[in-house]
Amino acid sequence: MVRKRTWFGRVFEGIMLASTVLGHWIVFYFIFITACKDQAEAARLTLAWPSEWKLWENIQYVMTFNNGLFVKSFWNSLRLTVCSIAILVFTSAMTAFILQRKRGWISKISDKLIIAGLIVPASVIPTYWVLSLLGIANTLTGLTLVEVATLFPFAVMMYKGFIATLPRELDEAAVIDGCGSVRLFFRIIFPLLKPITMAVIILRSIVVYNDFQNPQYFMSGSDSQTVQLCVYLFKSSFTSHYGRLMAAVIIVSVPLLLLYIFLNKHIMEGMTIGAVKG
Amino acid sequence: MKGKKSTFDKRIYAGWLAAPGLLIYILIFVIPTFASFYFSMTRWNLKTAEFTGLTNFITFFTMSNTRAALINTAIYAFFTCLVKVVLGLLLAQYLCGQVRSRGYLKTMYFLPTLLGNVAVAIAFESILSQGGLLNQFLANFGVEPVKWITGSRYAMLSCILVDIWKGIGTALVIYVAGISAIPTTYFEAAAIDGSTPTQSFFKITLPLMVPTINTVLTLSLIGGLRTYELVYAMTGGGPGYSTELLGSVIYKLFSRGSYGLATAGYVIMFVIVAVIVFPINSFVAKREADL
Repeated sequence: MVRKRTWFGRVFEGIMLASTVLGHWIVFYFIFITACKDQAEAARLTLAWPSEWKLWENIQYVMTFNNGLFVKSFWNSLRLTVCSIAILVFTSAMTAFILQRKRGWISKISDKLIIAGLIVPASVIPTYWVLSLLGIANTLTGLTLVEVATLFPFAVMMYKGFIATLPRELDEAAVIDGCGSVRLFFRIIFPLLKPITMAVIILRSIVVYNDFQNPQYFMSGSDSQTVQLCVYLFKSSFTSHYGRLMAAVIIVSVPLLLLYIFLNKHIMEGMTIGAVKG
Repeated sequence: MKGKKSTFDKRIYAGWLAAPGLLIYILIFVIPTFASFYFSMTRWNLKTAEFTGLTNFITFFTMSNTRAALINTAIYAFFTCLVKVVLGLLLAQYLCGQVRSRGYLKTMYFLPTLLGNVAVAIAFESILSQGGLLNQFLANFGVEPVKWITGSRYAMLSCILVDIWKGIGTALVIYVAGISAIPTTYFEAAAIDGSTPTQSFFKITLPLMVPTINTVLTLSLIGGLRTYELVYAMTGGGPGYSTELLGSVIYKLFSRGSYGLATAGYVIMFVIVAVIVFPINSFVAKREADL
């Protein structure tokens, strides 16, 4: 089956490599080199080397802007991401377990609602109304619940697909050995779901951290912002200073790039699991 | 025996385990979705809602930017989806072949998917601006500066290309997973019988990839129809209405306090997504069964 690499194949691979230089490296380099420049040089928007390296000054400016707004919003984003993913993992795994094992009319209706939730867009304004009835509009708690609800259908579908491959005999054996329902789930089933849990944690963290729409709708009337909103605010306040703007772009992107470097394999695996059960 | 089994089921599967998840989902997703149908027919300030029938829908369709937004959304969803589905598959097929730099290329196409919409918008806004990098490069070939995002002629095209740049990695990874799942023995057998790579692609890969293509198609179509953040962060919907999308119209109505009208816009988006995506899904599911 191993075919010899043809002359054409080599040339084509060269073209592909060149296209990543044009399409990706120049973009990344441009962001970086602009973040290193002062206002006048950055405004020229060239790839030229800076005459003076201002990267540190630009980063410092972004970090201290408006009494450290950026750092505060970073902290908010971190809390939002960690809390919503933790809640998502447990609630969706438990729901998927029951929906997969117990086939009653409640399960059937829930299944329908969850599958519909994969497709239909979220209705933001009535959601805002519900949150204000609950007294958690414009709060991080409210936004956390919104993120959980938005990501819930996909996570449940992923867990359900995996739980279907676990034999019921396992549950029965555990119960006969004296496990209650809760112990059965947390001690036997949940540990077995680890591949899906990893996939949900990694992939959905990226989504929540990068989310712009929900914070824009649900948090714009609040003083606690997420980091994406903060960068958007910079975009309108630093329009004349590309150096600072690009420094903000770099800082906001670094956490996920680090995540990618350390968890590269898990991310690809997670995407694969997510793809199979669409 | 059957009765016994179900009491056993009842005992070992405590239904309340499903409750926290379902409660959050129903409260924060399902109820608002149903409520939106009512609120779309009201004049609403979040506290009191006055029933006004179909007035909001009539107002929505007579607004000056609605027509542009509907057309733009259709164009945006169609082209981003088409390119991701087709180019993504071709790239994945290429990367699954004899390519030495496979890992590197995959990483490069995947990296932009990790970036946030706002960050991508900021970067490309300056690259595509009138004095930006692209125009500087084109000036070497004597091309006059083009208004990539500040002129109505190319603004939509630029947004679509940036969206593809950012999003094709997802499609690629899903496709690569799908192709890798096809047993290599199929291709070996076909090659022994004298099948060319092109024939193998059309006769083996493509039919077996129908479910995967369906996944990518559905995901990118839904995304294309309801997303607006990238374009909104890049252009704000302008110049004029040239990059206004349904999502950004709804957001603008929300931010100026026209809650009933914005909800009517949402209901229209809901109907469009449902009418387009559900039939495609069942059509592809049928084809899959035929194969």
